[in-house]
This record gives sequence, structure tokens and C-alpha cells, in this order.
Amino acid sequence: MLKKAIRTHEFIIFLILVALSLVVGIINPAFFSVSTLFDTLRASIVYFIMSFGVLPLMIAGGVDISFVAIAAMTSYTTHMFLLKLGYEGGTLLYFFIAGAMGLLAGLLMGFLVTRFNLPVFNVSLALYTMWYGFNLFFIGATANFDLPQGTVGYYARFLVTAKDPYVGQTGLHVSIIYAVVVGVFVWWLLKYTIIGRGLFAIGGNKEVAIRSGFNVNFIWMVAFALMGVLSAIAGVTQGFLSRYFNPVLFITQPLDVLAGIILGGASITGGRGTVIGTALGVLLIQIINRALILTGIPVQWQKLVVGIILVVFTSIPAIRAQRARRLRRTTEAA
Amino acid sequence: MKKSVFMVLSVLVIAAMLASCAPAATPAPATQAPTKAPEKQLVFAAVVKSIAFNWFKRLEEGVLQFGKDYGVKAFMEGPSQVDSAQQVAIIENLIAQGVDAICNVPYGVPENEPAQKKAMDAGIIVIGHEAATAKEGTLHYDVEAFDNCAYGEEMMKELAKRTGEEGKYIQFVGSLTNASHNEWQDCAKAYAEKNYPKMQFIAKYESKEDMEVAYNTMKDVLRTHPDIKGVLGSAAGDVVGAGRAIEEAGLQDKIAVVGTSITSYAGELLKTGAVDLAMAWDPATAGYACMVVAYKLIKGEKITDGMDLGVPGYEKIILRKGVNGVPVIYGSAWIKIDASNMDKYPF
Amino acid sequence: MAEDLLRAEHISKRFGGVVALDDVSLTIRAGEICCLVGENGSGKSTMIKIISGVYTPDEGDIYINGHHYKRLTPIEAIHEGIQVIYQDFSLFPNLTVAENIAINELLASGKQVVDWKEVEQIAREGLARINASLPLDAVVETLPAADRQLIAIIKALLANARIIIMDEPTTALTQREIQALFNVIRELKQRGLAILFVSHKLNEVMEIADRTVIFRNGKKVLDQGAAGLDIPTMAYYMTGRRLDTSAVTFEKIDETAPPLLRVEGLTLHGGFYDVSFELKAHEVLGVTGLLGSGRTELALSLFGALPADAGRIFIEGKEVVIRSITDAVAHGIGYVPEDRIREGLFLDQPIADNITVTLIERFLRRLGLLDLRTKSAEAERWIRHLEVKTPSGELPVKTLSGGNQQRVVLAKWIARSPKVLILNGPTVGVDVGSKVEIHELIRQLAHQGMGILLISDDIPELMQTCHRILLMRAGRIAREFRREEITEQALNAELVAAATVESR
Repeated sequence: MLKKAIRTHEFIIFLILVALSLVVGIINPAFFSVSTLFDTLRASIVYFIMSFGVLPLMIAGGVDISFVAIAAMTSYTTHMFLLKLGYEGGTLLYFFIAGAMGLLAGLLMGFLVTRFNLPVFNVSLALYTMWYGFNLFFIGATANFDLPQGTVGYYARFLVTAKDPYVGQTGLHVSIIYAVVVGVFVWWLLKYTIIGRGLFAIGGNKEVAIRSGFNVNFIWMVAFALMGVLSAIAGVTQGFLSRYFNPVLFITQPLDVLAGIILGGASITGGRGTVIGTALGVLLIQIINRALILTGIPVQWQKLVVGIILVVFTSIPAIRAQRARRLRRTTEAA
Repeated sequence: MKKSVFMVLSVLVIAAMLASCAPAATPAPATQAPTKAPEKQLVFAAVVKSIAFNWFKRLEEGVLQFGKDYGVKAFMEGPSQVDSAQQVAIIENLIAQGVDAICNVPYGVPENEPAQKKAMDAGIIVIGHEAATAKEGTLHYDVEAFDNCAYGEEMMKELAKRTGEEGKYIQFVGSLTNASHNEWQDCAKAYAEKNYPKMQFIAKYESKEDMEVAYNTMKDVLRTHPDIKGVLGSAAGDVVGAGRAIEEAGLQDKIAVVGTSITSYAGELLKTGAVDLAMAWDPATAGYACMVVAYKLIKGEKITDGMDLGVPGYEKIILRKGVNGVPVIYGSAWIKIDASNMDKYPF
Repeated sequence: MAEDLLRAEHISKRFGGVVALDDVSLTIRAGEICCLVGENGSGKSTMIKIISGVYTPDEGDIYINGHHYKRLTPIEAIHEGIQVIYQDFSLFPNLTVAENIAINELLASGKQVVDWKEVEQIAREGLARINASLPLDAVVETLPAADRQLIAIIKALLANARIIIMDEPTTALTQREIQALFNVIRELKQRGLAILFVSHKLNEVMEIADRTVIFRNGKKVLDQGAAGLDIPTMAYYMTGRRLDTSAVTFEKIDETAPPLLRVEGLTLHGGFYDVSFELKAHEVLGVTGLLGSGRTELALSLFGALPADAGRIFIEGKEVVIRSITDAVAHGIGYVPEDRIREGLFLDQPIADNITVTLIERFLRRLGLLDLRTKSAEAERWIRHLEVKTPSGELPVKTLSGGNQQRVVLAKWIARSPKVLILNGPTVGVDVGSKVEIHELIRQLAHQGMGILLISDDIPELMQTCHRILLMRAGRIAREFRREEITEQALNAELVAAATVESR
């Protein structure tokens, strides 16, 4: 049992994470502090939520980049709308309105994909541009800093606080709870529901999934809806954490998020991926980002390092598959 | 394909972020008004990438102000969405209408060149803005608010002033691929190496145009270099993210933060001193200056290096040949916003 | 007499103008293994699809378990206990054995939440039904084809199958795996299930069939008990021709002549070790052995695809170095791969271009232009010479049948006139008619003076074409036989003996 766990992809990622942390900590002992841990988690929260939303889709074999645009569109539109109404209440209403918009955006995408049988990536490329365009043309092109009274202090609402000699007081932000709840939910969905198993089945062999009697279109719709809602939650959370709403939120970052998911063991062709792996992949990218600052390595290296790790990680399964294929070919000849 | 989408959007975004929706101070009227009204009223048109952006709405204010000041019929046109083809169609239309001058802000510089040349052949004065890379013979002049390098050096001077010309400093750029940001910061660094030997460059960081990224990065910088003295920002949110981290650490009096930003972004932090100086530029004056150059050419005046266009920031212009041959007029039209004057720039 | 589970009577089916089935009747009985045999295009697949409800017949009636159907839907077929195991096994490669076995039952239960204990339970029950033991938590794509097939069979059993239809089930299996499969099939028969075993491998049919049905050109030409049927008879009904394999004349080899190809101490770590042999002109040398014996690696090594680590290669007495395919081709070595479709052909390109692609430089004229007329004449010559059945050389290769595709691959290499031709499993997946013709072609090539290295584990094939046969075991040449010295049975025994020694 233990032996098997050690051979999993997740465990390898975990080891890299630990090794990297040790190296960084030795070079810069400031890394080994509770406040650094809290800061790293805080910076990861929105990426956790977004990648948990994208993961089920990727397991079913769909590659999406529009999730960042949905996060931007839903959060910015919700904020500008409530601003106009003079809303001064708390954060909850934001999550509900944005979440509903995210749901609709996800369903729209699901409809386009299932009804016209379009490739997910193509649709997502179009919607990526469309949602950002929607913000810029219809809602507004400027970032907005006017937060409702009820949400002003949210960015500094901590579960536990920690004092740091260099950066002052910091803490474990309450919204980590969202990330944990979402993570547990997606994990349960993937592992314990027919929908979740259907996602794996579709990613493994779509034709057989249809033949076996999975309701493939319905499962697709659930995955898109989930992606939409979670993107919206991530967008609103980021708005409150950074204390402004940005019409082009995350615009340069879809590939970073996908990189984290892929590092975590998901395959772009579908069929594999786990919540734990994804979380570790996101953390790994965050730690790499910090490592380069904390060790003083030029930032130009960051992309190279992430790139190299990605190449190594994506080729391991490919090499395995190739070996299996060669074996099979020889088998067939026999 | 995707890269170009990114580029377009990020260009628009920077533009939009710096633009204002609130009315801002209009540029000061020209020092020399035209002596007498010409027998036929001149018609000047400004053509922009898209009229959908606040940035260009602000530019239009400068154009209209010029019209009022000089008694010229001046107006602005542009596609509702960024699109070179539509922009070219608008220019062709203006040629047919027989306007006297066009100030063009091309979306795609090469795509607009044939139309600009056609207008010049038709006897129209054609001035470009944000088109310093245009080919020779496709514009009479190009007008730029400032030379990127000079802007970066100015930023450095302001930072050095506040750190006593010594200590460690870091830089933020929106991305390592943003040409303007990197030109600013590289020139700033080169200037410091030459003039402030006691200042020590640490690193250039990417904020990904996201102030949350700047915030997190700044925190780690504080952990790694507790003796940091200065921060230069490029994207409008850079100084805000960095300033927040500095404020939380209680170091607003120890660390100088200077960079491109505007009041709506950095206002709070300018007040507390976490951000020391925001630098920006105003599209209205650029639009105004563009029109003035056209006016001077029609009146037969020559544009010379060091001359005064009578527009704030363009009192002592630099005239240089652009990389592809078009003569480029650089102003020094940056504005500096600090706690004392931020009310004058409420955008 | 066993109970008739299924009767399909006077079935006809046309696709456009093509008659796929013409007034064909088929009966499937409980506790009987019925083999359905026919060449490609004989109507086998159409029949499977009709009795599993995928196609609706134009004429005829289907009776299953006493129910009469004019048109059968796939759902009705499943309810009547008909299960088809296709060649792709219809499995999810990324899921575990347990989940693949249990998934249909889970879906049928209508529950939305998965109980993993229940999944395991279902899987265990399924495995118990055929006394198989597979690791429940292994991911299916990591398993060999034989295990995947077992899973497919278990899935069919769990769906309460009464009739299991197997479409070419042995294609991806090794000899030993085939035996294991046959044991499972016999076991199922004992329990009263009906098996429809669709194949064109006559030796397998001989072994397993209780009753043999043969289709040719959409008609049923034979339907009789297996007793008394022999392979030549079946081959005759399948092809409509007498295929005489007994009176094969072998090319005389000049024993004193220097060898065309000589290999000394050739070694590829992890593949084969210390392999030495000679091949003379006009000679066909068989290389056989089980999977993993190193035979395919040896072939790829000689062709430069997996260059050897040690040893020497001589062509016509001169030592040559083969580090790449280009080297091999330059030294006159040709190779016809085991998987002709993946490795040997551009499926969407015209037949003529496929033939001439390896000798394209011959048609180069000044300025690097191609002499298209000579090129198409050359292609036509080969199409005629090798009797590729096609209306035009300009049609894409994928329009050809398997046997004809193999001919195109052969033509492509023979057109270069290699001195040594390596054939790797040249008749895998080819029907019996084409097989005989390919064997004839091999002998013909040897007659013209080529030396041929034939890699195969098809014993009759080796016996009918080879002068000598090398038996490989664990990467080494274990034995060498002259054809005259050994019988099919003895060679078979040797091969199986090798298996027990090796035991993977």
C-alpha cells in the first residue's frame, strides 16, 4: 500500500516540493517561517479554486483557457453592477451574483461544445477573447478601487495571524476555507459519483463511454458549469484579496494555471488527474516563483525552470506510453 | 494568433488603466493664438485606434480644445473596435472630404502606411502619434509624449532624490516582454550605474500586470533584502502592490516607491507615503500637440529641435529620426503626481 | 440437439448497389462454438452487426429465444443476451480492472454515487466466473491484450450474455495467450453459452469449432459440423479456389556460393546476443521464436532501426556498418514491417506514389523535376506484377484490402531490387487466399536471386517457404533446422518447449 503510494505522481511532486523548499530555506532562512507559509497559501488560494474548476474538464479531455476570462467577466461585472446600486454590504452577495453568471457562462460554453460538437479548445479561445472584450466594451475599461463598506477589511481577515520581522503582520486568510471546501467537493465528485467516473471514462475513450450508456452531454455540461462557477468564485476572491476589480484580471495567466494542473499529473488529452496532484502542482509553481526571489536568481529564469520541470514531467508518461506501445506492437506481431 | 490577442489586449489595458473617466484638467491654452481667422476655416481630423476607450476620449478633449483655441474645425474619428482595415477606410473617407490635416494614431503601423501616404499625396498634412516606427515618407512627423529612455531616466532621478542616491533598489515590469516597460527600466538602470555609483540594482521582477503579484513579490523581497531602499514600478498597479506590502511592514518612511501610476490607483498610498511618486502622461496634451504640429506646417513654419510647441510638456521638443526614417518629435510630457498635487489629477 | 438460441433466416442486406449479404441463414445454438469464417468483404461483419442490432436487414427474420424480430435494436439484442466483443475490447484504458468490469452494472443500477466496495465485489464475482485472476487495481492500459480480452469477456458475462460474439479475437494475442483464450471459450461452452467465433485463421478454427460456417461474397457456402473438415477444404470454400500447398517447389541453392549476408556475433543489449548466421542468394531463411525472443529486434537491427551494439555484418563478403536505415538501404537491405499500416504505408496517398516513394531519385530529371510518366509506368508495372487488385494506381492505399495493402508494401521494397529482403510477419492479419499468394511471391523473389529473411511464428508459413529455420530463445539462436529435417508438429513442439523454458 505504502509502496504504491510512493510510486504515484503526486508523491514525486511532493518530494520535489519538499526538496525545493529545503534548498530555498538553506539559502535564505527567512523562507522557513509561518508567515511565508501563510503568504504562499494566500497567493495560491485563487489558483487552487480555478484549477479545481478546470481539472474535471481536463480529465474529460477538454482544454479550456477561457476560465480566466470568466473569472474577470463575472467579478468585474458583478462589482460594477453593485457599485451602481450603491451596495455597501458584505462579500456573500458578490459570490452569489458572480457565481450565477459563471454558471451561465459555463452552460453557454457547454451548449456550444455539445450542441455543435466543437472542440473545447477552439470554443474556449473564442470565449476567452469574448469575455474580456465584454468587460472592456460594455462594462468598463478601468480597474475599480471603490469597495463596498462591508468588504473593505476582508483582505486582512485571518484565521490565524503570524508576526514576521520583515513584512509585519500576516496570517492565514479565511478564504483558504473556500479552496479547501471546493477541493474536497471536486475530489468527492471525481471519485464517488457516476458523473465523476463518467469524466474519466470520456477522457479515456469517448466512444466507449457513449456505448456504455454514460450521459456524455450531461456530464460535459456539469463539468462546464462547475468550471464557470468556480472561476467566478476565484475572480471575486481575487478582487477582495487585492482590493480592486480588474476588467482584465488574470489575462496573462491561463497557461500558468494549466501548467500547474499538468504538473499535478493531469493529461491534456484527458483521462487522468487528481485534486491532490493539482493542488501540489499549483503550490509547486508558487514556490518556484518565490524561490527565485528568495534565492536571488534572476526572474528570467523562472519561466525556464517551470518549462524544464514541465518538459520532464510531461515526457515521463509519454515515455512510458511509448514503451507500452512498442511492447503491444511486438505482441500483435506474435 | 493568441500572442497578438494578448498584445492587443494588454496595450489596450495599459491605455485604459491610465485613462480617466472623470474629466481632468484640460491642457493649458496655447500661448500664441492665431493672429487672424483665415478666409477658409481649416479642418483637422484626429483618427484613433478605437473610440471605445477612455484613453482616446481623453485625447479627444485635447483635440477639441485645440479647435477652440486656434479657430480650427477639429474633430476625432475612429472605429468602434480596434481594426486597421476600418481605420484605413476612415482615412480614405477623410481624403475624399478634403480635410487639411490628419493626426493618426495607427493600430497597425504598417497597415496604415499606404493610406497615410495617399493622404500626403493628396496634399494633406499627416502627423502620427504612437507611430515612431513608421516608414519614411508615410508621415510628415510623428509626435510622442516622451522618449521612453528619457522617461526611465526621469523616474530614476526622482527615486535617487528620495534615497539619497544610495542603497538597494528593485524594478517591476508588467512583463518581461513589454517593450516600453523594459526600455524605461533598462534606461533607468543604466542612468543609475553612470550617475549614482552607490545605488545597487537587485533585480527586475514581473508583476504580470497584477498588483497582487507585485504585492506578493514585494513581501518576499523584504524577506530577502530587509535593507531595500527603492522600488521602481512600470505597470499602473506595480507601485500599489509594492506599496501595500511596504505599508504592512511599516517601512513607508524607509523605502522610496516611484513608478508609473495614476491617482485612482495609488491615491491612498500617496497620502500615507507608501508610494512616493506616481508618474503618468496625459493623452489630451498629446492630441493637442499633434494638432499644433499640423497647424504650424500648414502655416509654413519649420519644426526644429528644441522649439516650443506652446503645449505643456512640449516646451523644448527633441527632434530625431525614427528607426524607419520618419522624423519623430519627443516632448517631455510626463506628469508627476505626489501627495501634494494629486487633487489636480483626479483620474 | 442443443437448443437454438438464435436463428437468422434468409437475411439480405445491401449497401447502395453492393450486396453484402444475399439470402443468408445462420443458427446459433446453446453450448456450441460456431466459427464464422470468410475472407475480408465476405459479409461476416455485416452479419455480426445485424444480429447485434446495429444494422437492420433489408429482408429476412431474426428469432432469438423464440421471439421474432423483423428489426432488432441494439438494446433489444443486449436484453436478449447477445454480447459482441469487438477487436478494440471497448474498455477504458485509463481506469482500473475493477472499474472496467463493474461499470456497466453501476450504470444500469441508476445510482449516482459510487460505492467502491461494491465495485470490487462485482469485479471479484466477474473474475470468479471464468476463474481468472487479474490485479483489480491495475490500470487496464498497462495490461497485455490477452488480459484486456478477458475483461471484455467478463463484462459480457456480467451482462447476462447467452450468446457471445467474438470478432477476430486472436489478432493481438500470442500463441500461448490464444490457448488460454480457447480454454476460457470451452469453459463458457460447458456452461451452455453459445459462442460465435469469427475468424479467418483456419488453424484456430480447426482447433476450436464445433460447427463451421463459411461465407463467400455475401453468401453462405458451407455450414457443417467440424468433424471431417480439414484446412484445405475450408480454404477452398473460403476462396473458391484449390490452394495447393503440398506440392511446393523450393529454389535450389548453390551451397558453394559465398553468402549474400553474413552476421557474426551480433549483439544488442536487451534484445539479442551473439547471433551468427549466413544467408545465401535464392535462400529463404526463417527466424522464429516467441515474443521477447529477440526476433523482431534482430530484424530492426539489420535494417538499422535499432543499431547493434557489437558484432559484424558482411554483405557479399564485404564488411558493412549499419548505423541507420539509410545505411541499410544503401547496402541493399529492404524491410517490410510487421505492422504494415502504421510503419509501411502512407494510407491517404495513391497506391502508385506509395510504391515509388523509395526510388523517387530514379525519376529525377534535370532541375530536380520528376519524370512523372516514367514514375507512373513503373508503378503500373509493379501493380500488375504483384497483382494488386485495384481499378487504378491513383486511388489511396486505404481503399485496398489487407492482403493487397501488404502487396503494396512489398512492391515498394522490391521495386528497389534489394539484395536482402527482411519480411516481418508478412501475413499477419491477412486472409488465407492472400496468404498463399504472398507465399508464392516470396518464393518467386527468391527465384530471382534475393536472399530473404522471414520473421514469423506461423509454423505452416515457415514450412512452406523456408529452406532453413532459426529458432530464437531469450535473445539467442537456440536451434537451427533444415526444412527437410523437421515436421510442422516437431517445430511446433520446439516452439512451445521454448515457451516453457522462457516463462515470462
